[in-house]
Amino acid sequence: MNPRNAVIAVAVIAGLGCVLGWRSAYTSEAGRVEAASATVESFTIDAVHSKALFRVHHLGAGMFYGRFNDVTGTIVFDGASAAGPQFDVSIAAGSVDTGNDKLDGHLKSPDFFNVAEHPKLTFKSKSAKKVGDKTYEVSGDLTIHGVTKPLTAQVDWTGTAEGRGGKRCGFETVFTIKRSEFGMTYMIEGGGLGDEVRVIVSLEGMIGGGR
Amino acid sequence: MIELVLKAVAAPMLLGAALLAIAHRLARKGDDSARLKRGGAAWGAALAAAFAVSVFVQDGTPRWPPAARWHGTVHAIAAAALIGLAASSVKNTFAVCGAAAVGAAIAAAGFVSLPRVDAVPWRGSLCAVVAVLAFALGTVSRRDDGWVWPVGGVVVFTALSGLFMQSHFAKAAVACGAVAACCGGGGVLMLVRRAGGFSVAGAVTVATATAVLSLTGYAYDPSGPLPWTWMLPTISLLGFTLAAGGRATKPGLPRKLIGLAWIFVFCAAAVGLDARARMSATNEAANSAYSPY
Repeated sequence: MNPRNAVIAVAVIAGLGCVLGWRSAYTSEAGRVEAASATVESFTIDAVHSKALFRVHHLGAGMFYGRFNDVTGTIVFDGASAAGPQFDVSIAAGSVDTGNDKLDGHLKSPDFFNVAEHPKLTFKSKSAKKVGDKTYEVSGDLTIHGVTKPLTAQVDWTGTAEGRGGKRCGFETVFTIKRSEFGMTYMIEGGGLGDEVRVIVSLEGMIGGGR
Repeated sequence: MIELVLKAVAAPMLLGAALLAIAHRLARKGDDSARLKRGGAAWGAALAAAFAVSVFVQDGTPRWPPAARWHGTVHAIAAAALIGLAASSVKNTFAVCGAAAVGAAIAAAGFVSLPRVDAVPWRGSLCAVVAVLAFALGTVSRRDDGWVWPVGGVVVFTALSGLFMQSHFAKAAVACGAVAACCGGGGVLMLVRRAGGFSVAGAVTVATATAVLSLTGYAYDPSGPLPWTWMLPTISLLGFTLAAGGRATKPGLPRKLIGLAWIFVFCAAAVGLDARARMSATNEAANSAYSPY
């Protein structure tokens, strides 16, 4: 074989190899995704991209918002299954943040969350059922201020994605609780602060690395 | 705010004053000077009742085990009041005073179980401080149990109330305010001769309440910039015993005034230094708008 034909043959073989190799890689990646969606996976809650917000009526006038910055835990989820997600969420009560140091200090005191005695707010789901295309009704135990009460909330599956070194899934829920049921009664009488608290929780779970 | 002051400060103060007036009235019957003195044994019960009512008006009905760990202070102060009442009902000797102090100290260490300071060394320290302070104040009260006591009580519990308020623990601040108001109300009754002397019961209760509430404040204030300021009200009472006690005779006016000055300086320093440290530790401009009331 002359050198020119040899170069062409090597180039064709190399090109075929690249194409086939790429196709093989693509197929196996897609296969992994498809396979993953068919199996139950455990996601670690990404504290950077997860938040819990609360809203309460102040003096019968405005609604003030606060948030908890430290949200951790796990989500067990199989997007293809109707069984729904399982949540084990833990929130550091000391991470409460209203943008005002004095108000944060008061919320951490025994007048409200009593962080020294009850450092965690937790939710552990017991069951979930699919009630919409991407909506689940999740029931479990919510513990605030050392008091555990059953809670059922509608949870929206906001999506699943792969990238940045891992797989991710997202959920969001909005529900309302009465803080007096959790023994947190300060300033309800007299209308200083409302009893009903709207809670908004947005969670992002991840498998593998990420940022 | 007005409703809270009426329910959690004024009502407990009136209850304490009523207990003092009733005890004084009962003790006067029979025209017995010893019984007349015994009317002052209600001081401990009055202060403990004022504190307990204020706490439970704000935080719900009492239960065992307590709904919050700091509620154990109510039990400790009530136990000290009962022990003081029993001590005031028998012959007022050093031995009785010492026994009351030890009893109050054991009750304090037993009932008070606080976060951060629940280990044996902390409880042992609380026990020792209450024993020493209760014995020292009790021995001073044996020589003089007049107007200087309610005045000192007003200063100490007002200072504790201020420290609690600055640490954002408003419920405890209001309850300490109720005890200060009770001291003030009882002091007025004492001046118009409608309440007995402060007695060992009052002294042991004040000692226990001061030490226990100081430790409570420290326990729930982990981010306090000057944690040692919580010790100053207790130290002020020890200084008072050094100034007003120490001799076998009843202290004269100068010694009483020096004792009160000691209390005032230490308590004012505690509140002032703590306030200044907190102001510089936070973003004052951003936070000045917030007040719990």
